[in-house]
Amino acid sequence: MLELKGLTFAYGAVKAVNEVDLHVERGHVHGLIGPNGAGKSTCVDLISGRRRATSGRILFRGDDITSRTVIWRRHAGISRSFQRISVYPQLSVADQLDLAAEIVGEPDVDEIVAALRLGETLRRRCGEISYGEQRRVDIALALLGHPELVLLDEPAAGLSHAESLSLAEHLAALVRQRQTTVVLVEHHLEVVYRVCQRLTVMEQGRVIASGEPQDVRTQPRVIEAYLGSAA
Amino acid sequence: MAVQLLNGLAFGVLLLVLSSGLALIFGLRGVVNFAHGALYMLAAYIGFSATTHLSFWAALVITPLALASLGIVLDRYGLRFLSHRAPLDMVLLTFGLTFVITDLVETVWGEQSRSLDPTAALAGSMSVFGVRYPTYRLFLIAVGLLVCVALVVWLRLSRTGLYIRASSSDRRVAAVFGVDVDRASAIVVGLGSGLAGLAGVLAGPYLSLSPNMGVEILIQTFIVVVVGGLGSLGGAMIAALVLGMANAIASVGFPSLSAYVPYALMLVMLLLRPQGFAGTRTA
Amino acid sequence: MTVNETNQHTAEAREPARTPEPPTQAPSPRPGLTVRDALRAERRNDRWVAAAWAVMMLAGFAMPYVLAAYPLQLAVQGTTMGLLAMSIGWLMRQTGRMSFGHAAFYGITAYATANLANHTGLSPLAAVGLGVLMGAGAAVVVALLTVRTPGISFAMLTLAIGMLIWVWAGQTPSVSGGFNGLNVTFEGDFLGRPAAKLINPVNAWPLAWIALMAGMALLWCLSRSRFGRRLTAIRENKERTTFSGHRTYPALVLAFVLSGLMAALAGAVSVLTTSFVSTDSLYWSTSGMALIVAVIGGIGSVMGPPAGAMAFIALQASLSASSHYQVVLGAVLIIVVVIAPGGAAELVKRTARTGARYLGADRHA
Repeated sequence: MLELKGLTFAYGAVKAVNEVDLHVERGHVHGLIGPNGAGKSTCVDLISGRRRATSGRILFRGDDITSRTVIWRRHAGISRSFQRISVYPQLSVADQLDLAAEIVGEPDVDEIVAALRLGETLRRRCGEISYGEQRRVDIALALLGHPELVLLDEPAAGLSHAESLSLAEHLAALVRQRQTTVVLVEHHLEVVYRVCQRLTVMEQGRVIASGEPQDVRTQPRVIEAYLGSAA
Repeated sequence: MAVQLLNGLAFGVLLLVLSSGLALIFGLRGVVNFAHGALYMLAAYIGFSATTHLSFWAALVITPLALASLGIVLDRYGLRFLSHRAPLDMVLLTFGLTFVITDLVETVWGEQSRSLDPTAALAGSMSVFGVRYPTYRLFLIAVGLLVCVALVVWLRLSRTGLYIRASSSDRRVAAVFGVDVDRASAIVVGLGSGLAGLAGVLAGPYLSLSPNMGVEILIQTFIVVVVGGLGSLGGAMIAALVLGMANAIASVGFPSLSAYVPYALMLVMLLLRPQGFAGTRTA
Repeated sequence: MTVNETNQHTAEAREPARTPEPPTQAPSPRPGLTVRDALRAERRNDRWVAAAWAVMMLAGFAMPYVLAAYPLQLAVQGTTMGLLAMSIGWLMRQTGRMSFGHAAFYGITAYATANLANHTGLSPLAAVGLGVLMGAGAAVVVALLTVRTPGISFAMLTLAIGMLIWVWAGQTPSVSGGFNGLNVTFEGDFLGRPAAKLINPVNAWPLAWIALMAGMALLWCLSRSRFGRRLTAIRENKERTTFSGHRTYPALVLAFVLSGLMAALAGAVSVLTTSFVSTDSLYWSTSGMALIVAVIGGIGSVMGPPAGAMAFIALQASLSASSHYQVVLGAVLIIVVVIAPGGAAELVKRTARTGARYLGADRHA
């Protein structure tokens, strides 16, 4: 489905993403975890086209998309949410969902609205609803149009523990139903372990472990990298 | 030719003083101050009255101080309350201020043009580079350059200068580090208006006074600030001198094209390098 | 369906978000309110606006019977400025871009029409048509160059382009009539009446009024169309719009061109109703004044800018003896920006909403 080959992104001399290889299976929720500054969000930026890779290749369904534009990728089926919520504060929730749905040809916005519990907010401006609700609008915008691959950049950031778990369950149910592949960057490990079928751990721009969640979490190097700096 | 270059330099220095103020205010408040030309025009008239009642030297001191006080009031009771608003709102506010000031000047001093003779010590002409050149213009060049050098040195070396530079690059971070951003803003808007005041007094005996003089020079000042890189003091200073010189050279070399020069310069600059030739930094 | 019923559904549906126990079965139950319903509710006020427009349109035709010649002349001026203010105000609202260059499209159209009418045998209608095309063509070129640039740089770019054209006109008296301006002699009929007679406001008014009302209707419909909503989305959050798969550049170019077309229309009305053009029409303050009256009238509504323009012309005429209109205008502008952002139109809207709530309309759930 998605394959990264030797993907590198450098800010001057610093390699934020360094020779990353990654393989994401169709239909999986693939977790991307690691301490702050590990290069996870940069990876999402590279896959979604927000930044251009310094070197390496990105393959999507076997095609090289490394130099494609954001718009091309969105219509080809790669979509994303943002760590810093990116919505339209002055538009009503209904308005912005309808607008985005029309661009990408989503037939059933209400399915997403229902799954993300946004029904009550529809007539309010996005700037006036709660942080958690704005977060869900951001995710809803990413899910419109049945993208094959959705990149979620810390969807639980800023949410309470309960909110995070609830969001994770709703999301997991929705993507399972829509057969969407997901790359999930997330700090909230409980969310990650609940919904991910595969896990990749990054540290300082490199992949240090990858595999089934139960295998990865017991690797000494992961424990050291993760707990060593996060705890 | 030497005379033309000196003329270019004199006008460039006038623009330099005026646009330094504009660039400082933009750098810190993020406001494109449309009232800057009106402040300059007001200063020219205040300078005119101060010169006729007292002396030119008194006007040279009083006017910038008066304008600086006005600037501080403007910041304290105007811009501060709107600092969270869209930049375009600020533009419109200062636009409104321009009308009010223009009307005020027309009411107090009348609509007709006036001219002011330089004081006796600066009247006549001097010999420079083998040509005779009006003493007053040389004085203008000297004062303008001196003030701008002093300004840059002060911003670089003093503690207040450091605070101002910090607040210009990032208000929030500066505030977190304990910089009193409101105080820095008041100083900058005061200083910027004071510089407009100085430019106004200096312009009195050099150009003729009219209520339109502000609007006429405002566009040139904008061009300088845009070409220099919005909010960049150093860039604006270079751009002011370049524009003054380019005007002078074009008016000798291609007189029919000289009127296009400033606008063409701004157009090309914005299209090729929207951040101006110095990027956006203060000093 | 009633809104109350919907509310109960959604309130229930939202509860689980607070409990850590997730619902086990998918698909989850759907709340009653759908996106379509919500949008329809938002558009409910539109028919009132449309009705108000229709009433105003019809009432406008009575003006020549109500006003004397001089006030009517001012009203014609007001429609011209209103069209220009509307074009600049609409661009600002839809794209967040403030243009100081629209005077160029206004002036180019006026000058092109004038020169075609004076020097070629074209009928007034053909001259006006070609003039508007040239104004709009200039808008296309400017749009392609400038719309990528955001914020204050855009304002400065449009200012620079407008001023270059002004300088050119000033230096080309054979086209512009220099600083004395250019008188136009229209020969032949314009829409069935002698074009030269349009200088009489009684003849000019219906034409000016129809142009204003048509422009207003066009921009209002555009704002509500998918295109208008996409523009709003670009203004609000350009990056997100790109990530939603929408190309922003063509949309911005089209918006600028439509707005420039409206400015060109204003130029055409101006030259037809005054038989005169001067280089002042190209100067940046022509755009600046139009922008100011647009803000005072309120750019949130298409009716705001023309209303602001009419008020400005009236104010200027009534204060022209004392020449203090500048201080009044400046003070009004400052007050509007400080205490009533959104201008007069926003105040009217708020009043109408309060009134509607008072009368028990189910506007808000």
